[in-house]
Amino acid sequence: MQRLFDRPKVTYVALVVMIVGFFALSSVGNTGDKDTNVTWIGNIGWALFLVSILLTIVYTVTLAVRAVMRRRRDGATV
Amino acid sequence: MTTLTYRASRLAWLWCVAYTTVTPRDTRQRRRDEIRSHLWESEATRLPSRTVAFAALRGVHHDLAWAAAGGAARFLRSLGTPTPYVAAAPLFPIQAWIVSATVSARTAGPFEFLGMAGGGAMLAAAAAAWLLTRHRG
Repeated sequence: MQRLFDRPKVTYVALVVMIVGFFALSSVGNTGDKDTNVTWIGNIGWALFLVSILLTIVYTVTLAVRAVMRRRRDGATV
Repeated sequence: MTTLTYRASRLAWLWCVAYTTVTPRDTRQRRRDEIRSHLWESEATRLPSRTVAFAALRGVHHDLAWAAAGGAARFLRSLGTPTPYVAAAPLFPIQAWIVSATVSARTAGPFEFLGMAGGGAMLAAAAAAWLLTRHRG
């Protein structure tokens, strides 16, 4: 878990690949007017796309909070 | 680092941090140190907050020109790295998501296609830039 925060660039790249990949997956079976027998794959892709957006937001907020806390801690020790 | 007391100085400092973000690290640090020093001096000499705020406002166009000159070169250099493409990639699916949530399915079709193709193209460009930088060593 700690490694996720030690290497934010790699984590962001993974999140971006997830966002783009799941969005592409969400188009499977999505004809726009009626369901096909593979629409469920597209639905899973769409759900995972939304989850990856949520994960990106949560990760960004956590990174920001950790940075502020570290700055305060460093400021208190100097 | 010294603490700024007056609101006008703190706002001027925040503005400085904002517009220097786009420039290279060394240039950014020099500019920030210089502005911080000016702000500290203005507080030490008890310069009125209004004067500090007015001086900061008068310098906005100069600050923007300075940032554009420093930032443009940095931006052009960054096009040879994967970072801008990775940053742009999620914008395509997200715009498609927003459009498809607000307009009819038929209107949203091209935007959804752009979301898929644009995101993929940006990731491909990022991979190419990564391979290129790796090849160059």
